[in-house]
Amino acid sequence: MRHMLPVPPHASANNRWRAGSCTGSRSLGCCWAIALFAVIAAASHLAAQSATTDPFNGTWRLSVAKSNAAWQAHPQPKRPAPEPLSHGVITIKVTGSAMDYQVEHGTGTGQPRKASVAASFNDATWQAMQGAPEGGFSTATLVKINERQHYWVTRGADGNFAGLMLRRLADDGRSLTAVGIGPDGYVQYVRVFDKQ
Amino acid sequence: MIRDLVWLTAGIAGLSAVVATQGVRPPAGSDHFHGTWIVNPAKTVNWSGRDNTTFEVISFTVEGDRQERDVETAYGVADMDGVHRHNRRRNGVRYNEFDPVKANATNISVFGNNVPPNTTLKADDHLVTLKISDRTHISFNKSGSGFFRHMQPDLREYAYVGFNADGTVHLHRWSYRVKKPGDANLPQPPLAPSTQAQR
Repeated sequence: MRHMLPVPPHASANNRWRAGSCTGSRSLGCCWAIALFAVIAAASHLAAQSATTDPFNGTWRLSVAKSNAAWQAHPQPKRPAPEPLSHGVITIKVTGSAMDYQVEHGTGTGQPRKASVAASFNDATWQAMQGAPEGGFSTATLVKINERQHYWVTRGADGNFAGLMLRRLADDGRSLTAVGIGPDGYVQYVRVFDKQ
Repeated sequence: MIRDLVWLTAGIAGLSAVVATQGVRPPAGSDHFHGTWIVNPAKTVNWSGRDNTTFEVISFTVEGDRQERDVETAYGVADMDGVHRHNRRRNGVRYNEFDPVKANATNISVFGNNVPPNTTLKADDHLVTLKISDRTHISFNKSGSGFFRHMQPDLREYAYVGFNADGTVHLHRWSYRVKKPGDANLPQPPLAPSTQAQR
């Protein structure tokens, strides 16, 4: 560590920076500066790490085959058939307690539709969805259970409950399973997305 | 004269319809769960295969953003000794509060529940109870499971839906409103379409 610190050119032989051994008033100030620098560096590192390492961060693409298998394996009660979806791409960016979410979804006919929301976890506020969200809900509040599981509680335009969405990561973090539960208590869909 | 009689009859009929609906309709802006409810075993399904809820009387008191519940339940049928064992507990929580101190979730076993009477049980697994509307609320545990209660638009029935952390729904428990003590232990018939349209 000692050899990494610079020696200022103006420092005299008796009053030079002595890295790793702060003595005297000027050196004490130097220690404070080093400590401050270390704190700032650590904070920046942690902030950057949290922004890049949230396991939900990234782009996720619907796997129709895996979704069909997951739907078949999901126990009752569920609707006779899942809500159709043949194309789905989700982009998630979690920074701290805030999430930017964008989705592109379609059923195979016509142009895919897009929707987005920017919201915070666990603040019990209702955030408006932008664009054309699937399922007709208009607002959502987000609940973070842990690093690998979120819930969306949704309302329709009339303010009534429009259903619950679970998003849960696989243990290896490579796939995301979304489960929709309707206000009637029946599972509406089970979808599996692969990380891109 | 005939026209007056027609107007009078129509007026009485209209007023009767309004009065009939007031009994199940709390004041605007209040929580529609406030009151007492009885389980409807015929509509209740325990999808996990466990014993069904065969008895439940639950009373909600909602004041401001705090909900208190007093609930007595029993499952399945009587034990071999002929006693159908009941459990009673009291719970309370503040809506929309993630701070556990402010949420102040409480859980007291009044009797049953395999603990001595009036035992205070832990409630630290509770994460949050969100009020979605006056006829729906949802509660999450820290483990990722939870439940919601969603009331029908006619305010006479609600379904309790329990779900696991993997998205499996394990319970549909239906309850209907008790208008006053001594009422028949039968669900009310559905409202006529014309009455529902007036709501």
